[in-house]
Amino acid sequence: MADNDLMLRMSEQYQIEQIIKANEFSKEYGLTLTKEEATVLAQCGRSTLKTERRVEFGDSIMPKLIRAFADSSFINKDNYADILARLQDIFYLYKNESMDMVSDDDLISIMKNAYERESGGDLQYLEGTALEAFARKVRAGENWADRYKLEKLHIEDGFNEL
Amino acid sequence: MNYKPEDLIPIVAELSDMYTRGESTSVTYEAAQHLMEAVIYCIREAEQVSDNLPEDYNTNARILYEAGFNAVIDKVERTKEKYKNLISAFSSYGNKNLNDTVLKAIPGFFKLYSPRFSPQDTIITMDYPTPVPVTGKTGIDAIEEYVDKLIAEQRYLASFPAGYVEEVLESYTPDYKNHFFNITEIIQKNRPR
Repeated sequence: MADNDLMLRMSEQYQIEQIIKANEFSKEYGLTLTKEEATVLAQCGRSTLKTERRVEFGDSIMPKLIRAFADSSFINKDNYADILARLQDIFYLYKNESMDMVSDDDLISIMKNAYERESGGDLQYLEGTALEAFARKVRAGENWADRYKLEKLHIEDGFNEL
Repeated sequence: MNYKPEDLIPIVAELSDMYTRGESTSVTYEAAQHLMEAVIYCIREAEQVSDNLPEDYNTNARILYEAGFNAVIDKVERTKEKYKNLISAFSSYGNKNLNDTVLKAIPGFFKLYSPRFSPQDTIITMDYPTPVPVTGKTGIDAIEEYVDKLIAEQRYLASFPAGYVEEVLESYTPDYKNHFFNITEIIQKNRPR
């Protein structure tokens, strides 16, 4: 990547713009973020990265979280920004808890499945129980990929509702 | 060198992306620190080969890094050739530590060494002590010097008549095969007068 391009992508302004751009996707589900909300989410992300002792080069994870969770049964326009902020915190926490052995896309997929299926939209349960069990298995070296195959979660192609 | 520290960030970012195979937007502080040290190690290597660099190398961190990375690769290949030379006429004189260090540990270094992500890592502990230890160096720099010292010692020990070295070691201690001393030091201190 060009050096100037990287520094741009690491800037807060760019990240806010990318979050707002994700509205084009999430508006299909009646969910959008204002510029103020996007700014808060970008700032929360930086703060959580610092807390979790991680560094992000380039694009933030928030647009991916938005694309994964916008169709959730448990998210509405009133709780959308708050839930995204919590999901971002949980994401970075579990990148560490799984010792970076899980890709971003896989972790988001695991989070979404656990949020919809196991946690019933309860973020505390997602963070403290569902994902903790998953991370323990990853750290123990279990073949988590097998355990979380779609058929084991009873999720088939085209599934879109509980 | 006149590059700015922030000039290294794009290089670290690229290494981070390669390290995670593009599968993670973030890495831990420790990983980022390690990759920064990898970049700095290569840049320091470039300082040793600055004669071959273009005129603007002094202010271009990327040119320095790539030159240094290539220098590390060259050094690895050069050290491998030296190692082949070392083992072509190698004798451990029955000493297990020397045997295991040369025939197991050093190949282990070549197998595990990552010039791209961890050029600064020495990986092995160089258990067999050379008369003058390797100090102040890490990574391939340390290993190359270590191999050079081993080659020099092998040449020295081979200058004695067959069986002489083992005889002196045996008389020093019957258990010499299991000791962790430097053979040359024992030979020099215990040569018959």
